[in-house]
Amino acid sequence: MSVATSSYIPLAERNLWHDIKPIPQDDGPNPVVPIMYSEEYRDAMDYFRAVAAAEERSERALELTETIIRLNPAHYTVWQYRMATLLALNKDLEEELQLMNEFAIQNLKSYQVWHHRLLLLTHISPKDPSFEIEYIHQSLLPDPKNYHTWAYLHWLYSHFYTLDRISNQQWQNELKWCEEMLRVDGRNNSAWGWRWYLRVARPGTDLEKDGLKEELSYALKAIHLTPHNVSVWNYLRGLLRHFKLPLSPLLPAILPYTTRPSAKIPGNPQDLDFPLPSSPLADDTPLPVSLALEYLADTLLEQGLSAEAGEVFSELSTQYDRMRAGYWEYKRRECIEE
Amino acid sequence: MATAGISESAASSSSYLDIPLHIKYIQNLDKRQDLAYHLTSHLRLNGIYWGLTASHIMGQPSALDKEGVIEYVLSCWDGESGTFGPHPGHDGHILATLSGIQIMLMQDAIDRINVESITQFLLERINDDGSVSGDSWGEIDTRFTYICLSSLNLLGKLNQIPLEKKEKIIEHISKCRNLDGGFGRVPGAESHSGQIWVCTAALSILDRQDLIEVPLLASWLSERQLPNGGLNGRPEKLEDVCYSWWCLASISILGKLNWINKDKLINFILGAQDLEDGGIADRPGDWVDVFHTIFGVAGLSLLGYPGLQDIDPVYCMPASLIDKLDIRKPYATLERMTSYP
Repeated sequence: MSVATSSYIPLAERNLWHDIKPIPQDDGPNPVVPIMYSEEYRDAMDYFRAVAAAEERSERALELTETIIRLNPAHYTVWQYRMATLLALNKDLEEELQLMNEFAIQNLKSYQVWHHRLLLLTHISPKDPSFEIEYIHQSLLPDPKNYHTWAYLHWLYSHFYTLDRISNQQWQNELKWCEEMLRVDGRNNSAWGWRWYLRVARPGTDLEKDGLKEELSYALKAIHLTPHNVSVWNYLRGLLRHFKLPLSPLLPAILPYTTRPSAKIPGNPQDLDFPLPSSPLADDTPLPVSLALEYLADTLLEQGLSAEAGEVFSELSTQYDRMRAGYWEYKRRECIEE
Repeated sequence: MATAGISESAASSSSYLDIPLHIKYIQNLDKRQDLAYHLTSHLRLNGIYWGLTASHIMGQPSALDKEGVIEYVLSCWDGESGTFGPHPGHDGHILATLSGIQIMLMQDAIDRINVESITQFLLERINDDGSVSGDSWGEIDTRFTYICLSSLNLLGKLNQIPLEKKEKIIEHISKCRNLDGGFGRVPGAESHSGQIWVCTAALSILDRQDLIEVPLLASWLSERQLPNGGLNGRPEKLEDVCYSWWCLASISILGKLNWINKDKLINFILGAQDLEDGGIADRPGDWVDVFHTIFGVAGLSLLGYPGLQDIDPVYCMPASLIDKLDIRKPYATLERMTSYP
């Protein structure tokens, strides 16, 4: 198949390239997978092979790499060559960054675009990376769960933190931005992971000293907004596990989502001021919430009430979350062994 | 191939895996003529590995021309980097390296490749901090960590990694572990089923499964199953047949395969077949490709679907071959059924 390109002038007919002998694609002796190319792509690749073999670092080589990666943004060999050429020609890397911004708008995405961006920021090494942080925030708006983008954001902060270029104000701004992302979509698992980094895992933070109770309250409020949101349950349980906290103090805030809303659990303090759900719950809250039942069962286990815990796991296995019966049965059997 | 027709026929007759049809689909892959096919030349060698493995698991190891495949693999050799690239003329890369090794092992032709050279390339990818790069360009990813370890182990060269480097690799993987017990692409990156598979498999190869928080991670993996029976990659994302492999193989390594609802997943995968022209798609009604075909078939094999060969969840290769190489690591299996439903 050849794409009709009546306006495409082959490179061989352009003065700029008259001195280069293109190297055609070698599909191997008996191609098991022969490739059919568009004329433009094949032409560009033939010439690329020639310049790469000669290690030519020139403007026309640079242009050639741009042509190819616009057609095929995953061609990592060509990306590599482009970076080496940019550096050899001492090109303005901030201009290159602008080009990458354009690529993103044109929806040219691949692992390679992100790695190229990472290398550019490493070389440019701005004193204040907030312009790039802002750009990443913007790019997440239409695509709020893009795995590459979030991983890159993490790299940005880690890298420039080690260069001592992230101020306390910047961290605070980032937290506010993350909260806004979660306000827009409390089910964005990536944003919860980012909050964990900002509040618990990043260097220079000490939640235990400053803000653990507030953090637990934040998670509970999010549960009250979206009770069936697994990300926030994972976050809450993660906090309790990480800081080795007991489950019972928060139980009053969770019981309304279970099959035992008025349960009185011995040893369960009732006077801690964690945010409670609205009473009654919103009409459209399907009950019970499986993860709330799991919380209840784990609390019962914590209190040494294994038989009662086993009953709750049994309910989950046979009634409320039959899809995961295998898991709930495992938990139920563990209660018997306790 | 009618698109509306796929979902209808899939819904009504998705009660069985049409092995002969999918074999034909794989055999016809190289006859495609569209632009998208050539733009994926950077995946070509991977594509052959996917097709060949699927053929083995479906009981037809000779479906592709043996010598033709071998010659193609050899033509992907990049003398400069000392390993395989994804297609003739492409630079050597770690992604192609594993596929090259896997294909040559399945073709019983491993003696025709330069093992020393590949070993060197792999060892050089290991960075001082224990992360692994895909090539000299520097991109790191726990996928590359797994590929490095799996490749070396398949070649019998895992012991070539110096002890301190091995410890650093383990340290790096641990840094990629998250609050939910899962693993990400790089430290701090979100838990993702694909990255979880490469990290649990990597830790298996290193005999450090003790570093996995088993009930926690297995619980997270079981939560990937959606009401339609399919599995997703992370919370609140869409189901996709390829996660039938990433999640399932991971949970098999963790020894908790029964935490996934077998029947619902089997029906989901079967519903994603194209029962006119063959192949499996990411979900019922979508276009098929060889990537989803292998992972759908591999998932069915792990679930004990009848008529399929056993697959090893650590290496994603025929279990018989892994047993022969004597590099099998612990994992759970479900008994192979004699008929389904």
